[in-house]
Amino acid sequence: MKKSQAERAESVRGDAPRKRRSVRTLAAFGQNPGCGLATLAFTAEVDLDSYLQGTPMSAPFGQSPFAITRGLTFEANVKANDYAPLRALLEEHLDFPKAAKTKNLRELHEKNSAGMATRADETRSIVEAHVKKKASAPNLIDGGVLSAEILGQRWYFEADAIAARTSEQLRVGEMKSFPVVDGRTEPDKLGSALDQAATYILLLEEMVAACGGDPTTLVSREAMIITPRNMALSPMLSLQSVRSRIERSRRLLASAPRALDVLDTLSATRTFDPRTKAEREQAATSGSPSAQAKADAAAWQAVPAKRRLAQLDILREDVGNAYAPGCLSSCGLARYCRAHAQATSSPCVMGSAVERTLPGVSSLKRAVSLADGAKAKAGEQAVAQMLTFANDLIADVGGGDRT
Amino acid sequence: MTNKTVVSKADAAVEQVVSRFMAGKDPAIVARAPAGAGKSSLVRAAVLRAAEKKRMFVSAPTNAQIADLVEGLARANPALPLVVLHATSQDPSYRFSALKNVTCTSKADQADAEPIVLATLDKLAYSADKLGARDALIIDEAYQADSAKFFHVSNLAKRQLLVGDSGQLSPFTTVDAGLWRGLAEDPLQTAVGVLLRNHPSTPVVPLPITRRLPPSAASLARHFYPGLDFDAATSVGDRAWVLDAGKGKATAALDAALNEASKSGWAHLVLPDEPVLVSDPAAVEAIVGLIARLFERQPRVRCEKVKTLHALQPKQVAVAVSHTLQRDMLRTTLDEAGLTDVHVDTANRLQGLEFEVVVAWHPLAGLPDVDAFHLDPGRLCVMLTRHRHACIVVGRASDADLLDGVAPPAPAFLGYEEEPLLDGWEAHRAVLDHLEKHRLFL
Amino acid sequence: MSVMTTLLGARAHVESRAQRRTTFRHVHLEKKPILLFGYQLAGEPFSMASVAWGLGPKDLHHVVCPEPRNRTLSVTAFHAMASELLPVIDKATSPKGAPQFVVPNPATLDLLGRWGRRFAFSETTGEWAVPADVIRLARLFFFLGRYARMPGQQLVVPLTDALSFHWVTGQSTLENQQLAALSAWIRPDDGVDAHDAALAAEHVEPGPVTDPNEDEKLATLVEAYNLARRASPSAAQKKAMAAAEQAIVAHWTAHLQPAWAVGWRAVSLLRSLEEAPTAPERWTDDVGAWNRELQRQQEGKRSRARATTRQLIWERQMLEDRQARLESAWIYDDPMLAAEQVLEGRGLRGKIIKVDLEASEKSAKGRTLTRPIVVIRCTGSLLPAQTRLCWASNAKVTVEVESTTRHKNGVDVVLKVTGGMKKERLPEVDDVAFFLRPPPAFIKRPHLPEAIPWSHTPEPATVAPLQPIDQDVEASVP
Repeated sequence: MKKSQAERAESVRGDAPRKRRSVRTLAAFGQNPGCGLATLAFTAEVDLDSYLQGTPMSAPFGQSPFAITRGLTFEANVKANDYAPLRALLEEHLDFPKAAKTKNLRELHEKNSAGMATRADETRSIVEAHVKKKASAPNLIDGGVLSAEILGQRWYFEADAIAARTSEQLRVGEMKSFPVVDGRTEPDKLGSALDQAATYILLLEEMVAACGGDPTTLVSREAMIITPRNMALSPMLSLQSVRSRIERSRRLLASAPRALDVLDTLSATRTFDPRTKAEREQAATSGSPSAQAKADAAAWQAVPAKRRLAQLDILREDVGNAYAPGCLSSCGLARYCRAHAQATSSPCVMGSAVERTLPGVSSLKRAVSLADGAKAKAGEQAVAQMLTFANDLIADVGGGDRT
Repeated sequence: MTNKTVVSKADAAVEQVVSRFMAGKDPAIVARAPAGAGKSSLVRAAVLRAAEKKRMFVSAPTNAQIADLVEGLARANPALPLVVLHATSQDPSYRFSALKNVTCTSKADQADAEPIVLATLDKLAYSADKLGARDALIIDEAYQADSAKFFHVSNLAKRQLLVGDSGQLSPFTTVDAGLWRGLAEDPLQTAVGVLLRNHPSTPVVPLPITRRLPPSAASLARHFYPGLDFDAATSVGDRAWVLDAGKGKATAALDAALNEASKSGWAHLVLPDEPVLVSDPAAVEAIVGLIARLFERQPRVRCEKVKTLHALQPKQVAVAVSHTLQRDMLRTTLDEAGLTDVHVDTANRLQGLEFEVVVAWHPLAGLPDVDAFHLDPGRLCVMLTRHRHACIVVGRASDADLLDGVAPPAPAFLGYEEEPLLDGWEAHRAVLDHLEKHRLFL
Repeated sequence: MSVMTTLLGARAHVESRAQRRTTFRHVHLEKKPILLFGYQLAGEPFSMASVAWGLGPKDLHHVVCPEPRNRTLSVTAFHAMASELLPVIDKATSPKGAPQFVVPNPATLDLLGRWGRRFAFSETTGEWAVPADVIRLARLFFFLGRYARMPGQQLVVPLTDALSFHWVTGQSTLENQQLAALSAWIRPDDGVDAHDAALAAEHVEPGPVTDPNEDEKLATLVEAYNLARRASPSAAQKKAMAAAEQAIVAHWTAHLQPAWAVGWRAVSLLRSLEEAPTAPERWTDDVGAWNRELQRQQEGKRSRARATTRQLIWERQMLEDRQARLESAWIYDDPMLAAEQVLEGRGLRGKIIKVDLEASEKSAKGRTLTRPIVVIRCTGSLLPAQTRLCWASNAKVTVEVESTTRHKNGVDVVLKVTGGMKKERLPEVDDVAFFLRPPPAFIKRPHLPEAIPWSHTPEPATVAPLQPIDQDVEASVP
C-alpha cells in the first residue's frame, strides 16, 4: 500500500471501531472477497462486528466470556510446569527428547507492534539457528512471531507453537479449546485451525528460505493441532497434512492486494465514521489504553443508529455488498445487509442455492410474477417456463398457502 | 504402439508387480494406474502367471468389469479353465458362448472346486461363507471399491493384489459421509485407502502409461494424479481423426470447434456469460448441434490398432455430464435428432468406459458459485479421460471467473488427508489454463 | 433447493406468508411428547447449565446448575434431572411404548448425546463415582444421540427440521434453525407481518447456546456465586450462596419462558397437520429400536464410545436402506412431494388419455406377453425411453416409458405396463395420475465376517478401550 493509500485507508476508517489485522481478518477476507463493504472494512481495519453495537441491528455474536476463559485455562494447562504437558505430547508423537529446551517470547515483550517486531526478529534468530543445525537452538518456541508484507504493510502473526528437534524439521502447532471426542471433531472448526496453521507454515517456509535454508526439507507440511481430549481439559496432539491448505494460503496472500482496488471505487472523503471532525475530537479521551478503549466504544455506541445506517447506505452504493445468509454468523453488518436484501426482495436472502434455480431473475418478486404468467424477457425464458409449470402443478395438487 | 520407451517402462512395471506378487513376500501389493493404462492386461498377466500354481479369486466392483476380464483372459489362454460365479438373477453365459474354457454358475459350492473363480465383490461377499480361502485375491478397480466391500472378501486370501485408477470418483453414500470421514473404521474409504491406512508400508507400484489417452490428453490428465508420472503409449501422428471441410456461416462456431478438436485433441466451446439453469437448454442445443454437425462431416478415424481410415460410429461418441437431469434432456434431444446410438451419461456411470470422441459438459457451466460437488476432481477427471482421439469441453464464459481468487473454506476431518474441494479447485484451474489455447466462442 | 421450494419460498417472501410444502405431516407425534430444552455454557460442549422439560405447557420442570464447570455441582444437577425424568421415560415405555422427545433444534439433540457420552461410561463406585440414575439416563441419552442418525427417526424430534420440512418460509435455511423465528413465520400473531414477527422473535433463545452478550451477565452472576461458595462456611455465607444461586436460576428462567412458549406453539403447529399414512409404521420401528436398546442395557451389555469397522459397515447399510425407504414413503404418501419429484424431472403427472388393456409384445423366446399401454398427457418432462416408474396410487403397477411425443397441447408419454396388470386395477382414461420412481427393492445384505481381515487391522495392533472412562480432572473451576 502506498503512503497515500495508507492515509486513505485511515481516513476511510475515521474513528470507527478498529479491528487490527490478523490471520483471522485475512481468513475472513478470503471467505467473501466479492463483498465491497467487507473488503473495504478489511483494508481500512474497521471492526464491523462492533459497528452496529447499540443499534437494533447489532450482531449477537462475539466471543462468550465462558469460551474465552476455557481457552485461557486450556492454554495454561498445556503450558504448566515449563510446558510439561506439551513436551510430553511432543515426546510421545514426535520423539522429542526429554530435555527439550523451551523459549517463551510472550513474557518478555509488550503486545504492541514494536514488541511484535522484536519477537519476529528473535523468532528469526532461532529459526536461523535451526537452519544452521545449532544444538543450542530452543526446541519449542511459545509465541513465535512470523511476518509478511500484505497490502504494503508489515503484518505480524503469532503462532501458538513452533517446535523442532535439533537438525529436524520445524513444525507449527496451534492450540484450540474445542475437543476431539472419540476421534472426531467439528469439521468447520478443524478446517479453520488447519488453515491458520497452513498460513504460519507458509510464512515459516519463507523465513527459512530468507535464512538460506531449504524450506522443502526444513519445514514440515504437517500441522500439529493441540486440543482437549473428550470431556476434560487434558491435551492431545493431532497431526494432519495441510499441503493443499498451504496452496490456498498462498493464493489468499496473493489476492490480498486486490482489496486495495476497492479504495479506487470509493469517492473521495468517504468514511465509515459519520461524525464530524469536531464531534470526533470531542469524543477523544486520554488515560490507560483499556480506559480509552472503553470510552471510545461508549462514544461510538452513542452515535445514533440512523446516522450509522445512513453512512453504510452511502458506502454500499459506492462499493456494493454481497449478502448471503452465512453472513449472519460471521459479520456484524449482516442484519443491515439482510434488511436491504429483503427490501429489494433479492434472491440472496434465501441463500445461493436459490440463485441456481432462479438464474437471471433479479428479484423474488419477479420470480412470483413470472410464475403467475408475466411475460418473460430475453434470458428469462427457460426459468419462466419452469416457474409457470411449477405454479400450475402446485395449484393443481392443492398446495401452497393453505395454512 | 510406437512410443517404445514408454511401453517398455510400463512392461517393466507390470513385470515388477507380477514377480513381486508371485514371490509372495508381501501380503498385499497395490498397482496404481492412470486412466486407460491397460490395467486389465496387468491383471491378465498376474492371473496367467499365478495360474500355474495357485488357486485364486479375481474380482471387481461391476458385472461389466468382470465380463471384460473374463473375455480377455479366456482369449489369452484358451486352455485355462475359468469359472464365473454370478448373481442368480444375472446370468452372463450368453456373452461367453464362444469361449469353451468359460463356465458360469451361481452356486458357490460348485465354484469352490475350481482353481480360478471370477466374481463381483458383491457376489463374493454373499458367497464368502461357502467359499474356502485361496492363495490369492486380485481386485481390479480397487479405488472404486469401498472399505466395506473389501472387508467382506479380504479374508478369502492371504495374498492380495489391488489394481486401480486413483483419479476417478471416490465411493459415495446417500447419507452424510461426514459421520465417518477420517476414522480408521470409515466404511467409505477406498479399498486401497483402508489397506494403506492400516499398512502404510504396502508397496504401491505405479504404472507409468496411458494407452487410451493420446499425448495431448496425457499432459492434462497428469493434474489428477499427483505423484504419478506417466506418458501416452502412442505418439503424435499414430492416431488421426478427419472430417470433411465444414462450410456455411450457420455452423461456423461448431465447425471451428470440431476442427480444433480434430487437429489438437482438445476444444473448449464457450457460450456467453449468462446465468442459466443447471439443465441449460442452450447448452443442450449446442452439444446436440455439435454432434449432429460432427456426423454431417463424415468423420473418419485411424489409430495404432486399425491403421486405415474408417468411419467413426455414433456409438463411439459419448457426452459426459454431471447431473441426471442434464443426461435426460440430452438423451431425449439426441434421440429426436436421430442420434440414438450416441452415448450420454453422468460421470459416475462413465467410469471405466472408453470412447473415440467425447463431449464434456463442463461441471461449472453457468453456476453462480462453486461447491464441493461441482469442484470434485474425480468427476472432472472421468469426463476428460474417456477419449482416444479428442474431447470437446462445452462451458460458459463465466466459468473461469468462478475460479478467480481463493477456493471456499474447506471443512476438515482428522485422519482424512484428502482435500477434494481444494485439490478440485486447483485441478479445475489447471484444466482451464490448459484449454485456453483451444478456446472458441459460440 | 428444488424448483418447488424455490417457488414456494419466493411466494412466501413476497406475500409474507409461509407456504405449505406437503399435503401431510410425515412426523408421527405421540399424544404426550416430552418437550425438552437444554442449554450449555459456550465453549463447554459437555456442560449442562440449564435443562427444562415437560409433557405440556403447564408441566414445566427446570433444573439449573449454577456452576456447570464444577464436577460435583454438575453431577448434582444431572442427578436432579435423572430422578425426575427417568420415571417419565419409564411411564412412556411401559408396556410396549417409547418416550418421544421433542427438542427445539438438532443442536439440542447433539447436546443430549454429549451429556450421555459424559456419564454413560461412569461407575457408581470409586474416585469418580456417579449415582446410578445418572448413568442410566446418560446411557439412554447416549443411545438417542446415536439413533439420531437414523433417517426419519422420531424418538427425538428437532422442531426446526420438522417444521421446515412441512412449510417453506421466506427466510434462509440458517434462519429457519432459530425455532422462534421459524414459528413466527409460520404463524405470526394476528395482523403482524411474518418478516417483522420473525425479526422480533430472534431475541428468544431456544438454545443450546446463548447470546454472548447475555453470557456477560451470566458470567458476573456465576462469579458472585463462586465467590460465595468458596468463602469460609457460615450462616452469612450460606445465605449469600443461596441468593447467588437464585439469581442464576432467575437468569435462566427468564431465558427459558419465551422459549418454552414457542416450543409448545411449534408442537401444536405440527400437530395441526394430518398425519401421513406411513408415519405410524416408522414410529413402530422406533419403538422397537428403543425397546431393544432397553433390553440390551438391562442385560448389562455396554455400547462402545467408538464404533468398530464392522459396526460402521452395518450402520452405513442401515442408514442408506432407511434413507431410500423414507424418501420413497414421502413421495408415495404425499401429492405435494410427488409433485416436487415431477418438477425435478423424476416423475410424471398428467391425465390418462388412452388405455389399451389388450396390448402385448413378444418375449425373447417368442411367447406373447400382455403389456397394456397407458398414455398420459403431461405438460413438461422429458424422461427418456426405458425409464422405469410405478403408479403412485399403487406401486404394484409398474411401467416403462416407451416413447414421448411433444405437441401443442403438451407432451404425450406412452407407458408400457410391466407389472400388476393381472391382479391390480390400472389407471383409467380421464384419471389424473402420478408415476414415480419405483420404491427401493429389499436388499438382503451379505453376512459380515466375524474375523477382522488383516487389511482392516492397524499395525501395530492398538486396542481401543471398550469403555473409556474419562477420569481426568474435569473441574476447571474448583
